[in-house]
Amino acid sequence: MSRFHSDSVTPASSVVGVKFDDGVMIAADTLVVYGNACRYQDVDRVMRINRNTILGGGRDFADVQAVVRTISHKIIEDHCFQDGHHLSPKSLHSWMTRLLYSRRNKRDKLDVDLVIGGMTPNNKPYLGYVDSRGTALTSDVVTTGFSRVLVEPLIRERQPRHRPFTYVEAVNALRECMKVLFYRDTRSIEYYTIGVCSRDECKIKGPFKAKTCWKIAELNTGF
Amino acid sequence: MILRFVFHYIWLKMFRNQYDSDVTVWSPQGRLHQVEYAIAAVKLGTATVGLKNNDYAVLVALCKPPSELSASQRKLIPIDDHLGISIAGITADARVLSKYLRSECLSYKHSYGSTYPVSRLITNLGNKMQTTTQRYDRRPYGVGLLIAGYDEKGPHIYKVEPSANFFNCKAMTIGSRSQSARTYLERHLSTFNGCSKDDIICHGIHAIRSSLPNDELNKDDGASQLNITIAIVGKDQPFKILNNDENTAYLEMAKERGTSSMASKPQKDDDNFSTEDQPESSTPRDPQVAIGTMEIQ
Repeated sequence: MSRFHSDSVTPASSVVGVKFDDGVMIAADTLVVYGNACRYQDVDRVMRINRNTILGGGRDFADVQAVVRTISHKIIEDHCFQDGHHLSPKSLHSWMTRLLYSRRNKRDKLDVDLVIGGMTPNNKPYLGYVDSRGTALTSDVVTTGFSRVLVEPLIRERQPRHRPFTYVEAVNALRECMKVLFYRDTRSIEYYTIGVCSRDECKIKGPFKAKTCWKIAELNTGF
Repeated sequence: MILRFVFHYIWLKMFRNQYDSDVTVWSPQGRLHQVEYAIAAVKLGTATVGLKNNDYAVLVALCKPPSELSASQRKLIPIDDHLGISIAGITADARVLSKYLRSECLSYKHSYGSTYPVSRLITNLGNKMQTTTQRYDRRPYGVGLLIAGYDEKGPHIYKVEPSANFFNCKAMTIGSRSQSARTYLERHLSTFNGCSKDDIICHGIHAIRSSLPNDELNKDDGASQLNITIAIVGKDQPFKILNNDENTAYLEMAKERGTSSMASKPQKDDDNFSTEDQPESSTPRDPQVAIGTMEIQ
């Protein structure tokens, strides 16, 4: 099943995830691009999977939707068992890694960047990343696409030594990130959603608008 | 004339009734006799006991070698770090089932990075075993299993029958002469949850002691010569079959602690399958399952 490498028709941009003391947060803007046009501007790219898991998807959004559809089938299966066992973020991460890697080996990639986060059964925050190659990693800060270059250093700079972020610190860090991403990433817009999964809640919040200042544009003259 | 009568008599002796030759044949009373005969095969195996407290699940099995010259059959089979089984019945069938369980656990671990939840694995096994009770070209597995497992919902004891029925139990026994062990467990059921690890193992040893045949029971000077195997799984305790030294230590411990209210003689033997003479009337259903089972959660 070989196929020419084809660029995604409807790509989405970066996803950023941070761990804080009580849980995880995942932020992504609400844009899916079609060609060069900012066509779909109100898309929730961070999704709630179940009470303990949230997922943010970047790159080809059609593939992200296909993946989320498969995952929701699994959640329905969990409901049918009715035995109190729910898919944990670690299990979802592991399963997605196997899936994406096997698709990659069959030369039939799912072109996605996934950030999977949530609370493990023993109430510890979990944050993981998996991409279309099947590369998987877990970390306190996870970024995909442009955010890896543009905002990961920013977050690492703000990261307190010897302790995790607090909720407020994490929110402020993400706010700053989304602002910088809108300034610098051409395939982004200022509206974004943040998914929060902690001991107390599991919700997708937003859309928020990044506060940007374009006064500097006036100085940009001469061409 | 007489010859026909004799032939018919012999034929009747071969098949208890005419509805039990195939697993796909129902009897007029609505029973599948082949499945029930398979359940009887479990009663041929030596007794084994499963019980649990809040943190651990324990299996104790009585090992009886088929002859003086051979080693005893392996009764306890580890499946994964969080789960193991104890068998009674046809060992070859048990081998096949344990191979399947191990493969499922490994496959789950590979895909999901965590251990297979015990209740789901048992449901999976039950579904696999059910097909053998519904196909004309298969026969039911002639082995009963006691599963001891530990997952995020705590310790579990499950009993699986050849009929593909499975029961979530607080404590259970299967095998020959297991009724007396069951009586012991029923008597002490309320104390199990609060037990320590050592206590729960000692309870298991006392329970299985009552499954010894009468003559060995009288000879036995208080559990120190029992030929048993013990396995434990639980919190921070991967499934482990105790070695000889640990076995002896627990046997000594059980002997010292003694037991105040053990059954002094075995109860009525539930070994004989009693439909021999009355194929029409229904035999009382084995009551043991209802006592130790847990609500489906």
